[in-house]
Amino acid sequence: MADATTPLQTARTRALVQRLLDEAAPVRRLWTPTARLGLWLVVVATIAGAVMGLGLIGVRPDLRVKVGEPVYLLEIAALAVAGMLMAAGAFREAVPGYEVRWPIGRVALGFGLLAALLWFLEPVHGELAVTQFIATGIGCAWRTVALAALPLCALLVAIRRGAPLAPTRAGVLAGGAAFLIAALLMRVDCPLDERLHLLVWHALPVAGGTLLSAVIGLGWLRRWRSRAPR
Amino acid sequence: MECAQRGDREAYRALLTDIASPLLRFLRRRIADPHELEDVHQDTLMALHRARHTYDPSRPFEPWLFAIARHVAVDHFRHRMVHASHEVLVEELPEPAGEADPARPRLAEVLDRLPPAQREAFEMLQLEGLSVAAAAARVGITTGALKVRAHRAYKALRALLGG
Repeated sequence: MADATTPLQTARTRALVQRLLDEAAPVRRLWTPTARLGLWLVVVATIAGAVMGLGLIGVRPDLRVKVGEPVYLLEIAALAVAGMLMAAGAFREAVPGYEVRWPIGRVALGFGLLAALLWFLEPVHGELAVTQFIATGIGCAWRTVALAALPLCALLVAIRRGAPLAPTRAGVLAGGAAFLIAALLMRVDCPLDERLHLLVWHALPVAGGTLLSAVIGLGWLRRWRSRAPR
Repeated sequence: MECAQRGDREAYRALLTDIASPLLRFLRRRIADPHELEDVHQDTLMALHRARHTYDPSRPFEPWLFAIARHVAVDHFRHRMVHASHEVLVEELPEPAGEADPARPRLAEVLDRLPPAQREAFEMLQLEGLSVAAAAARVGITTGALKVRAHRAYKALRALLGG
């Protein structure tokens, strides 16, 4: 075996190096995380425009009044910042050693929790029957999932093109980003400002989707080491 | 690395030569066993090769390289822990096999007579205990191609061992 400063010169290592050299075809370099984030946001904006154009989601009737309320604006801003920071973190996860000076994931989580806290401060309408509560809410949950699906797929595929060293974390960040942006769009669409409705039908899909994305990340994003060379 | 990304073989060779020493020093601080060290070193080179398109020339190279090396080393330890948890300690060692038939060649000698690709496939699957997917990934071929190599190796070994 080689000493501490010289390379290993076993036949196996030499053969491996030779094979790597044989496979040294030009590769298409990954765009920077910032550029990829920008492209993803364009994709998300296009999807949002398309679903609004098709009438799958709309705009709440009282939006003009709501945009004058600081709490509503803070909630929308918190969701937007949390979603974008999580997407930025997800793209950084795809590049080994791409260190940032601040904990981007935790800051994003903080903004997400701020939005949830603001939902918690909304009034409770206890007179609503359970069947009515489910009937009015289930549509919001489904639309949140539907809105998040394509951005999440785009984000996961984009991360998979890189080399995510922490696939579960990358999955969490991707899921959080896609579902927070979907929750933001749903807050522009859904006119119900009720605590239980928001926490159950708007927040739970975000939590569940993020968890599901973590599982997808664990199973799928880690396979970059065994894929064929590009 | 920038030249290697463009497909420059000589630049890539120079890079792999240059990084060998610092990479080994990095891995040696984490892995004492020389055989494990060699395995992890090779896995790191493979991972570096698979991830070379992610390197951004405007950023320093070392954090990128050592992040990959650290990941491979941690992954190696994780696999070793899983394997260790499946090992079973026995109170008595099994009886050694009876005297070998002097007329039959030893496995090591027979393996030496196999073509290198077939021998490598056999060793990875039967001696190192790798899965087909892991072995295929290590040599950079498809699982189907690895199965073909292994099948040919088994067939040749049966013929050489007179089975």
